[in-house]
Amino acid sequence: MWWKILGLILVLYSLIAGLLIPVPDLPVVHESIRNIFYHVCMWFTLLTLLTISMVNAIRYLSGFDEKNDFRSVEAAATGVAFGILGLVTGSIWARFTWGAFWTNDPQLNGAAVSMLIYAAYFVLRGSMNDSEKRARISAVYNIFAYIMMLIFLLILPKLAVGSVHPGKGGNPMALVGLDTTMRLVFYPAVIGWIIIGVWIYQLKLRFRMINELNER
Amino acid sequence: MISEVRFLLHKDLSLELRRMHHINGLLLFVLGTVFLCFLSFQSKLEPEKWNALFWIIQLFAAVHASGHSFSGEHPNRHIYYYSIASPGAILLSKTIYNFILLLITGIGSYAAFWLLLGSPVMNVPVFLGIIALAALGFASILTLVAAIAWRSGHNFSLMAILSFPVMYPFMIALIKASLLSVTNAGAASLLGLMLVLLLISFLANALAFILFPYLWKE
Repeated sequence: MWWKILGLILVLYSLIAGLLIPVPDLPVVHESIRNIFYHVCMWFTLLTLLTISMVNAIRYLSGFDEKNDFRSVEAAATGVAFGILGLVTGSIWARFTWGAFWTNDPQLNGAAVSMLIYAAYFVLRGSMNDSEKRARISAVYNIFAYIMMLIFLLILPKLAVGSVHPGKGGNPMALVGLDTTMRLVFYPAVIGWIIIGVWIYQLKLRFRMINELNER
Repeated sequence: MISEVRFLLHKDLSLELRRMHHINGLLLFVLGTVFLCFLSFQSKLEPEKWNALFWIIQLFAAVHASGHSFSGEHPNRHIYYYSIASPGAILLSKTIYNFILLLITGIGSYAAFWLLLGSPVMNVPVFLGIIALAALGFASILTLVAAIAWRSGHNFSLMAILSFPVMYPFMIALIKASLLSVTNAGAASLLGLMLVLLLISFLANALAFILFPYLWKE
């Protein structure tokens, strides 16, 4: 229980402090740098939830416990919701700093690929009626696709010529360039959003379990 | 295990040699697509576009080819295979079979491109090497996806949807590596990229080897 309150406090704190604290006036981004407190947290939450989903897919395959399948699918669904939020906040940010909603950037493409993979995961799930078979086959795809997505996120930025994201192509490195006051907001924001993400996932999971029990 | 793979591969290959319908179908598919490109593009293609077009057609051919990996045979026969061979051997034999199929398709496709759209490739031996690496990667990744699509019961509608997202990392590295061999620039980074391709293939193969038994048993 205490960690849920902590998450709420951290998110509220970052929402308010993110707008109030002084930020360094960097070229191109200027005041829009405050979006770092909101946009970047979505990706950390997404990755956390997708990792939970993949771990539970492995757990499902090692014991064929139906509960692990519910965990896996609900974590993926919550993750995708955060991914969409990340894309929206990122697009708005991109529009006001680089002038376009979508640019050809490895981070953006990585985000798009993860969304496509999990969209395919849900299409695959929707195509089967037998719940045991659905759980088993989608768990296999989940694990395989997660690893492929990790490769995409790890190797692609290294292959790219330039990126608008931190640390590449002459842009300031995010965590090095962040000044101390910004860190004081950024880290709590990340932790807070991850907690909120996990909390939403748990609520969805509980709802799912009750529904499944009622249907029997 | 190795003898099982050898027997299964021998079975697949001799079936194919007898009927020749997969390989002929694939070559015709590639030829038809390249001819369509020939009709559509009025001017000569720049190397960069040629390269992208070549690999996109290859990807479609590969998805098409590996989609048949498991659905081509009668379901009852799979039960028979299940009783005589280990899942790992089935997967490996299918992967090697797809590799051979895609290697032939790749070379045939290059020939068709060369004939109809011209060949801007400067470093032909390296380009052929990349075709072989591509066949290996396609076979490694797509054989497992084909098994997933086949088991879900909606083989052809799901094959493309499931395979494209997981193919992206490989395709990006592939197109970059191939462009370097086409323009014959940057030997050092080319070697690095080829290593990346090889690593992705091995990783995909290892994962498929671990995961396939869960798909194979009914």
